[in-house]
Amino acid sequence: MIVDLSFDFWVEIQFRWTGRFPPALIEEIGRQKVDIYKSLKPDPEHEGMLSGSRVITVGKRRFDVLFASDNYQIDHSTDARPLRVMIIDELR
Amino acid sequence: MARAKATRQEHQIPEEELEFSNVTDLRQNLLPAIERIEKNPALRFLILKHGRPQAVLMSAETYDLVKRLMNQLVSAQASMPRAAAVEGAFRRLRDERGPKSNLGSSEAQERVSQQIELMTTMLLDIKKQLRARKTANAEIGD
Repeated sequence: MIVDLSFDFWVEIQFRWTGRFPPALIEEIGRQKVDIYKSLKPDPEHEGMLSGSRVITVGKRRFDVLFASDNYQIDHSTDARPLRVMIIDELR
Repeated sequence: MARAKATRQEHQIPEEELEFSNVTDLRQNLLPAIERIEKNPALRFLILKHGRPQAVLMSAETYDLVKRLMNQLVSAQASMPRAAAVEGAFRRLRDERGPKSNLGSSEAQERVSQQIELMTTMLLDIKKQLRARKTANAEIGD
């Protein structure tokens, strides 16, 4: 299974502009993406979507990351599953 | 340095003043490039490394403008309640659904069925009119 990772517009701004999150967090999410995708559950509030959150640790910093996947955007020709990083909250 | 086409497919807004330059070219022509940017603050150089875009060279004033704009966006986002931010992220994700994937929803299937029904009715009408015209022509011939 291929998991196609993408980031919400605002998460991208936080990574690329404000530098609020360390680049190592993207790498860590990338490493865990298949496992994260498999752990997603159907979202009762959003038709056709799977969602779930996971705490990801990078060094001494911990981040609560909300993920979602839209079943309508699965590429059946390559079996590529989309995985979107929706919101990231740093846990203090 | 290669002049970019007026509109590149990946840019929604035409960037008339975008030029491409590889690292070697830019290293050799950095001073003239900066002078050109000073004269035309809308000019930007997209710097390619191994043929892929890696960095942008722009005027300090333009960068300042982008910075102000981005900081305004970030402030607006920071003041948004979390629930609204989550809902916005879901809306953006849903908006990326292509027309093909929408065919899976029952609402879309119903819409397609209605269109097929309408087209079938129209075709039957045309067929009826053609038959009537053919009969009329045959009567005139007689």
